[in-house]
Amino acid sequence: MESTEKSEKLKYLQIGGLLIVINILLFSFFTEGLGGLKENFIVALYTVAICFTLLAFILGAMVALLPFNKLPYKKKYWRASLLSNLFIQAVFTCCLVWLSIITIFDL
Amino acid sequence: MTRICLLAVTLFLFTTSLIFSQQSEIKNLKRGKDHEIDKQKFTTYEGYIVVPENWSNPTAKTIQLPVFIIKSKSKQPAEPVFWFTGGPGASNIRKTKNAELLKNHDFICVGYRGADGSTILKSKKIAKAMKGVNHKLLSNESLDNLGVKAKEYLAELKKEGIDISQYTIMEVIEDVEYVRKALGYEKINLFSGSYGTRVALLYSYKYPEVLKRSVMNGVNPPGHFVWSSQQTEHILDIYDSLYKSQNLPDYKGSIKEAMKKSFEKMPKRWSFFKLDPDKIKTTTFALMFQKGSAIMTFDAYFSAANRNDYSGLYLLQLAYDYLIPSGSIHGDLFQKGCADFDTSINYREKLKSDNTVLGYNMALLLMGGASSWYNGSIPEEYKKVRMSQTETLMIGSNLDVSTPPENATKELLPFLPNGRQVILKNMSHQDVSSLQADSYNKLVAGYFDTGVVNESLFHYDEIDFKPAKRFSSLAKWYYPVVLIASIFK
Repeated sequence: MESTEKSEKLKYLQIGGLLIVINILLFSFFTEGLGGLKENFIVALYTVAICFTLLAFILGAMVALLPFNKLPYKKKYWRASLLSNLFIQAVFTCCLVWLSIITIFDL
Repeated sequence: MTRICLLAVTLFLFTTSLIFSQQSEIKNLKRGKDHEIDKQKFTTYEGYIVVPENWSNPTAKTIQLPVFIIKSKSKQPAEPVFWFTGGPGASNIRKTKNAELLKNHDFICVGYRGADGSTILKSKKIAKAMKGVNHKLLSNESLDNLGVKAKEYLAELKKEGIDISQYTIMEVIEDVEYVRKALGYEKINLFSGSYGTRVALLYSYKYPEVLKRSVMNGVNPPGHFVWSSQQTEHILDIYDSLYKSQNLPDYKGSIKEAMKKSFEKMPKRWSFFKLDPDKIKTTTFALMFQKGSAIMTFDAYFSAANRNDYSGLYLLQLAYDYLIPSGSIHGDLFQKGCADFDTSINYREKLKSDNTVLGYNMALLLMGGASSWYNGSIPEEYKKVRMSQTETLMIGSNLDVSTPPENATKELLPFLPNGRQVILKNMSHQDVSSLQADSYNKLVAGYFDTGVVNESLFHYDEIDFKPAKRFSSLAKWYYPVVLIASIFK
């Protein structure tokens, strides 16, 4: 039971990490108007890796207040935070994919 | 018999005059919260007046307007000062911070009809239309849309029984006259800013006999409700000459060149969001009302031109969406702004055919978009400058893009034999009353007290071109906030 939970958390962490890397790359290469690749990368790193992750943990803290399977708060907090991070990063990935397409095709 | 007849006639006339004479009165005038300036407490009074919507038909519909009074510390104060604020489209109820003025004068604000009291002409639909269509604020499509919404709002007002033709500067003057009479003042002083200077000027034309003195800050002579793009460009040249004297690393070419270059090579988007040069130009114009924000704006252009960093300019665009469309009371803005409207001019065509770097921006939005609002204006004789004997002090500043002081120098001063003008260096429209506030307060209070103009109170203030904050850095450091704000605008 414990190990299933751990592997689940690890899976969320891995997917979350992967999405963070994808988002930083997409943002760095396909964003215009911030001054150049270096500036894009700094803003992406700061926004995606720090701000969004922080936001996910704040959201997780709130979501964990809701009752779920009689689980203790600490367990719900980790799970909710990691899932929130996944959700935020996934939404941002979709937006960045759309941005990449319109940038490539100059739409 | 003759005596009885005479008595009956006298009684009839007396009763009739009692019925038809309207006693000026301020209703529910009661003490308000004390007003504190520099640890000095001033007594205030708040009340309201009930006046006819149509002054030529006093028995028809009435409206309520607030009245706010700050009492002088003096036991025998001199003539009170009536305040007219800028705009149009803003409330006239303001609390002065000028303790000098309150030493000898009561300070009185009468709500502007259309912007204060029972009828406030604010429209959410117009505010939305002022955000433009398809990220092109000044395109024909956007201006047409604004025109349609303005017309719809006019129809709504008519349906509500509001006679919009009764909300011009001339009716505002009658409202203030009503309060003057109600408070029993024989003579009053007028203190005005920006658009309010036009109200004060027309007041001096209509009721010269009741005025002691008038102080006008940021003077708007008749015919100047349309901001001039050429004068804005001239002020950019003044900034440029000042820039050149300071060797700044970012400063290359000129501000105008940086602006041109920024617009020429502007990308379609900043991050996810489409850039709208019209909104950026309009906000630039608005931010030039203060030199501090003007310098920050110029810095954003240098970042865009020299480093392809449009973050600062995008922040200006975002600021437009959040501040400008909802920042004024549209019906009041259009109705009072119609004072200079000339039906023989196609404003859209005229203002679009302009080759200055910032163009007519705000003027085009208001005159080109809302020209369908026009439904009559003030009488012709009040649209022109005329001779006035009122003792008048005009205060201006050489970097003022909204009310450039040369307009008052050339067009108004020759018609004011008892007029004086003070032009302050290195200040813009909203700096005059704030950057050297003590000197300004003393100048104004001193003039009301004695009629003497003491310019020596001001010191020359060199411009520091280092921006207090960089818009481009703000946009990047607060990127997540900008992102959320852009989604929900």
